Amino acid sequence: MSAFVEVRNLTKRYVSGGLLRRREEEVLAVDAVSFDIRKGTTLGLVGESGCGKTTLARAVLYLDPPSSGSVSIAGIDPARLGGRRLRELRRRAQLIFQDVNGALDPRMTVRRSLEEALLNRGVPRSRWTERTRELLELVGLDPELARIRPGLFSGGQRQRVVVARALAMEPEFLVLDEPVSSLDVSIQAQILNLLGDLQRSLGLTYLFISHNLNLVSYLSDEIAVMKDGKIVENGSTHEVLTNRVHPYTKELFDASLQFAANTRREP
Amino acid sequence: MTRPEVKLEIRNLSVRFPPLTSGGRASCAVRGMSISISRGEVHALVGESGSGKSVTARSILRLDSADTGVEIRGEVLYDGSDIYHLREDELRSLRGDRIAMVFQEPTRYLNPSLRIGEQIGEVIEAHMERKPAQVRARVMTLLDEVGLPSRVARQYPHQLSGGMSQRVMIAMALTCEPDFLIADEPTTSLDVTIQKQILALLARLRVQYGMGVLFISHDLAVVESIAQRISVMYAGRIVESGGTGEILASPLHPYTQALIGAVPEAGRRGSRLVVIPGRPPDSRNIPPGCAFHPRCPLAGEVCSRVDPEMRSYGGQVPHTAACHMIRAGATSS
Amino acid sequence: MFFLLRRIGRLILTVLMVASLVFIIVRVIPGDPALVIAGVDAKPADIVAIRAKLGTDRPLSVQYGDWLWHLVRLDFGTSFSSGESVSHLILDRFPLTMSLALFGFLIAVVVAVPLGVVSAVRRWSAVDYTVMAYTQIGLAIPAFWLGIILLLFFSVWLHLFPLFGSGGFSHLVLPSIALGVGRSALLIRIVRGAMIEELQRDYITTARAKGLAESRIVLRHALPNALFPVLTVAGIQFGYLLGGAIIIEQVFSLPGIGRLLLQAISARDFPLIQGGVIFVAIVFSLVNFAVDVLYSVANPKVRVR
Repeated sequence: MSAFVEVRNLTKRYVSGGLLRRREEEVLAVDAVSFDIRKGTTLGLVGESGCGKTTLARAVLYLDPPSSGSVSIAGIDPARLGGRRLRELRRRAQLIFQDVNGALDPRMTVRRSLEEALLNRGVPRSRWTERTRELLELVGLDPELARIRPGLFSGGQRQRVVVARALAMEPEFLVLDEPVSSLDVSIQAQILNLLGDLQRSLGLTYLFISHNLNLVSYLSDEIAVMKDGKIVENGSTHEVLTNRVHPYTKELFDASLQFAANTRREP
Repeated sequence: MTRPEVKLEIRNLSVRFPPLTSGGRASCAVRGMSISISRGEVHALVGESGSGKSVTARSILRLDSADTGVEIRGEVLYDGSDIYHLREDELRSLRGDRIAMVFQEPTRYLNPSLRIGEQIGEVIEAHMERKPAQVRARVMTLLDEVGLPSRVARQYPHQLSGGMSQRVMIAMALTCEPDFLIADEPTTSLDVTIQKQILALLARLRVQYGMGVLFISHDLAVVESIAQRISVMYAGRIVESGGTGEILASPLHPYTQALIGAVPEAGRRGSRLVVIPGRPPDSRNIPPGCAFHPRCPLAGEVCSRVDPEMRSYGGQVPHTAACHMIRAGATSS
Repeated sequence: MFFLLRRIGRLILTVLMVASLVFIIVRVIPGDPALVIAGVDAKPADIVAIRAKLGTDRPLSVQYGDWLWHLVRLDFGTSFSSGESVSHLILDRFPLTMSLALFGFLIAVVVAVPLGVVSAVRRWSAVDYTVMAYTQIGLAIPAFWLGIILLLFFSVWLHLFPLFGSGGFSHLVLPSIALGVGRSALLIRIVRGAMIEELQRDYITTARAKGLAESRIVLRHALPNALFPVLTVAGIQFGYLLGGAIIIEQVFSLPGIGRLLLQAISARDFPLIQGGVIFVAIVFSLVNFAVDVLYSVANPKVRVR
């Protein structure tokens, strides 16, 4: 059986320059990246700021089509799709990103945000109330909160609403771009547990992107280490953490402070 | 030159901000917190956002100007005398000279339109030396000290990376070889490889200058690597304090325990993280009794009525905690 | 380089648009220049002859093409009423208008920066309220009215300044003040707002934590950053001043562009009206261009990017 998500030689170039620059420069933001994600598993993509991980996320979902290379999600190549079928693919693959504040329209109540998604999904209006309730319960929010605008919410609650909205589309694949980076530790734990629960109960496939190696290795079955637009090391979490072939992986591992108070205490 | 006996001691500090709208509630950001730092030691102040740790940092040197309506009470003892009794000009000669600060987002905390050389140089001019040649020489020495090339002096902040900017901030703080450094989340906005370099730099400079450091952070892994003592702050108050090893190995307060349990570790893949239900209280509306009781798994009837006092639980470095529910006779190992 | 080319392109486009607009407007407003020149008793044949001489008997499209063609070669034509070259007439009068606008601007800035800074630093104090009251009044009074009051007070009663006419710096003092007060009121508000914003920025906290004197924090740290927004509006403000100068010249009987233009309008002197308006438009565009360049030079962030 082949992988659920297959990325081959994906490359994304940008042309920078203009204004006072003398000549235009081509920037290789993502350089011939390939990876697979098996259904129901998580690939953790780790790298530091500017390594191209967010660009890669957007290219995989064809929000910013790649310059070259191929992507296949559930056996479908988005490059060959247009219009309606591409939208259908985007429904099945949702993006959740770091900026919890920017992701929700502050003027819309939670119910309206979710109903908008349900409308897009084509859920009949008669089922909206029931479905909204289900979704909020799924992400561990009190369904009573549906009446409220996100302005009054904490970061964690907002991120739950964002996840609920993504789930309204009944996706199979979630791209999570630093989903907990702006959250406090205790709230971060709530969201990480939620993501784990959802993966188990709904069989979701994740591409989890973060700069935090500890976070990525906690959550992922496999890890890809990215630097300067390239994937420099790729393998199962255990393998990458114990072998650390590439010097950059070693550097990243050494720099990521190993907090192990818990593992030390609970044998 | 080193006077290890010098201490920075904060006693019963309270900081209130006036309500944003008339009829609103005042915000009690800090509610009677105490902490002390000795020279040569790194004391970490740990807490989540809104716990009051940054307000504490700013209030030590009274950086919020009076027209914000901020009300600061309590004592800040530097070398035995209360900073809050100083005149404005006396306080100014302490700032940046004996007590220096480093902030979280170095790019926002540097003036975008002044060259780095001037931004460091003006500290020298304010506290030490006014002769241009000597100021310039000192700037170069400082840049070298924090591992930056001398050309940085002629550059503007936006030409520097986050890590370089933080080195500049540190160079500025080191200018007068201060007794104490207040570092407010100095590595939070940086990449991990850069974070490691900055932490190593801070650790080296602490030894070299014999500084005491108040290291504010929300990241327990960072704190574990650099601090000798940890104080945990919740809703404007210290709830637990002690030696780093003891706090992390045998935390007494349920909040500290949950905070440690919430950190994802590679070695615990698949296991569930400890979750603190709810969210930190709003500083305008702090629960009565123990501020943590609505989220606490152990909370009993007394917790919602009586604010627990700090008690001592032994330990090499005194281990203290404020909780009604700690078993009688519990001491840290 | 690209930036420069784009700005020059925009400048040319603006001038062309103004040229077309003014061409249409002078011909839409009633009044025939030939009638004005010929006088009340002129015979119809004379009028036709004058029209032919002026070229106003040709079809509008031909006149328009002719006007643009000359304009490209920087030829503004000759005045209908005096027969002199339009560019000569304008260049003769322009220095006065320009110095009026410049002095007005200088007064506005010199008044606005210190008052705006003090107001921001001592926010909600008596000083601040007084300055705010000044801006309220300054914005409400029209410049020409202030000009008349100044004339009455300083020239008619105190005899400190000449009543009218031109011929030296003393003639420019009162009109410049009359012009500058309104602009200073606006600039004070901009400086005050920008200063308040800058004083709340994080780098100010750093400056405090470094133990710098408050004066240095305000003047060396906050002020230069607060002046950027002032610089961006300076170009537009200068445009206002140029327009204001044209009016204020009437109050003080100064022979500047304004007077020239008014005379040209009443004489239906098409080339002179067109030339005058275009000239002011070019100067205005050039000043704005200069401000943009200055801004990118002053702001290290813009300079490198």
